[in-house]
Amino acid sequence: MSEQILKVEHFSVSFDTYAGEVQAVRDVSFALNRGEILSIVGESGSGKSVMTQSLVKLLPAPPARIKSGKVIFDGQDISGYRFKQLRQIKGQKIAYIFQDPMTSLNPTVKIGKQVTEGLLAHASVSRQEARRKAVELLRSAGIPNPDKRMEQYPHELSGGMRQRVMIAIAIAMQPQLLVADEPTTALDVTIQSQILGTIKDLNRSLGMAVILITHDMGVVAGMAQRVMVMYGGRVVESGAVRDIFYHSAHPYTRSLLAAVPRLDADSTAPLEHIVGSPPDMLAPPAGCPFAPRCRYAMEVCRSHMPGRTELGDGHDTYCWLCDSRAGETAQAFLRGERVVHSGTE
Amino acid sequence: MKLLKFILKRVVVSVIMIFCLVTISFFLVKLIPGSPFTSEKMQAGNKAAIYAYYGLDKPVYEQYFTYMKNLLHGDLGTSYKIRGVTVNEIIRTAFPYSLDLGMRAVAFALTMGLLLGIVAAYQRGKAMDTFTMIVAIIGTSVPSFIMGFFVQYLFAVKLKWFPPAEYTSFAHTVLPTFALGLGMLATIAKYTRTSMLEVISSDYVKTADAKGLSKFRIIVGHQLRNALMPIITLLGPMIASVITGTFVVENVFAIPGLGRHYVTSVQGLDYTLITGLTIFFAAFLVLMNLLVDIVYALIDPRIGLVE
Repeated sequence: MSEQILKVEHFSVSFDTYAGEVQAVRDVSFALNRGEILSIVGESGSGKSVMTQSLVKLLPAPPARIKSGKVIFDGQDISGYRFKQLRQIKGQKIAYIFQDPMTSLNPTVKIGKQVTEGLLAHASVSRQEARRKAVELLRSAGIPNPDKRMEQYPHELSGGMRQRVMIAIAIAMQPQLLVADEPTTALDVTIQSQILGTIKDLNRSLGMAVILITHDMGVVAGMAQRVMVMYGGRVVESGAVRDIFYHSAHPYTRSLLAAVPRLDADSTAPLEHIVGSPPDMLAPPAGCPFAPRCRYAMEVCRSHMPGRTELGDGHDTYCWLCDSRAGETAQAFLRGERVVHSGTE
Repeated sequence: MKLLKFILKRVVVSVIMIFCLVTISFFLVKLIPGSPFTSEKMQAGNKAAIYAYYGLDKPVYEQYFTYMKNLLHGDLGTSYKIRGVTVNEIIRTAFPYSLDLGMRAVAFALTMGLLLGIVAAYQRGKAMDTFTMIVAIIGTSVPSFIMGFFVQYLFAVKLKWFPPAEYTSFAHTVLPTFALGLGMLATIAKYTRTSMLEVISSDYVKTADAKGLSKFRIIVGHQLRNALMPIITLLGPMIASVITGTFVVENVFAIPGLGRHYVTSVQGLDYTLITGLTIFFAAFLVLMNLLVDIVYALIDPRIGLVE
């Protein structure tokens, strides 16, 4: 049995629209170990959700189209699997929790049925058994009075409770991988920590690997072992949480970290932010996608995508500043100075 | 209990609505120039006798009260033009034909329309989708009198597959059902397609897919129910207008339904028949809308029955 539960190689996903091809995910490669929590961070539109949902082809195709790449799950290449074959993976081995619990449950179906139908689809159990199991699942997802909840509809539950129902649905078959796509973005902060606590407990007790997509660097620090930073459909940096937080080697990651508001900062100072907006994926830049917003951008950054630089211990970055030929600018970057290159607007 | 209260409330509102409608249509028809007997050649004395016989010589308000009193007893009065026959009898003999044809047309349109709409949504941009759109365009843009004559000519006169007219056996019902149902089918298919496509990209369908459910379960268990809402709204008035009789299709296929009475009663100023049919149709429309509201509440738990 391999240590790796998931290995993604050169994965690219595009949307065919009337305006042209939107290259949402471009050449993403990463691996995930069994029982590990990997956090994917990056601003909206960086391709995090599209990438993870395309692993088992959850996006309607057309318009979504997987252009290339391999998805090796539990030793098997599932990238060529069709709908029928993927049914043996979805819900059973890879489960999903989505961002908005208000819309990800069917408003016209009782909670009970929404939990049991996954069980009935995969395990050969009777309705009574499935029902009993569902009550158990709801309880282990932290829902009080699960018997009563079974007969209720989603609109009768609060947002936090609905997200717990989503968790119960996701862990029904004890999956080896849980993809939690911003599971707490739509919830308030106290509920957020409870939900994350539940996910972490399940990760420990079931040995389930987790891909946690989030905007919140605080969540990353508290939950994940490893972090992958995405920008403009590409991976720009990945590594252990400590390496990313303390030895980040990519200007984008540093900007993200700098944008986290600090309690000890001067309260009258303006909040840090990254100037500009993410690239238009209809016509992605030829070079590094972050170059137009990067303080340290050099000529080469605009024309050529940097290759991977291994910094050791699985800490990889994709930035020209790590190239030995980068010279002065790189030195300035490492010192943390601001450099505005002649070519930068 | 909640349902019963809701129905009761709606019935009371409906009765008031129908009362207003009766009043308005009673006076409106009297405002039309002429009288039911203007075209007939008769001596002045006879005319007066006929007017007196039907109570038309009395003041209008008195006629109104008499009419309302009779209506409360369920009596819609006597037809002026079809001598010696009451409006109740006309409806009793003609309505079963219209109802039968209407129900067949609705069943045909609903099953085929939903099926085409669903398949089209799933095959978006492919051959079945194009086919459905063509059916939808033909169904909505070709008027039923042209469609009626066309299918009659092609399948009855030329191919001789079905009898051309009358309404006595199953074979007789096929062509009128098709002619009457096609327009509805087109509308239903078009709405189903749009609404299915809307639902396909919703989050809960993605959740259902992520559970590893079969295509069938995803469609029937999660999409259809939510996609049906706009179609149910459509269906209420559609069914009401179709089963209370349609002039054109019944005329083309010589079916003794209620449809022709709508036209002939107005042409002949048959006061009682006009008002009677208006009440009948209105009652049906109100009933269908009530049913739609109840079905709504049954399908979508978020819609409470309290207004």
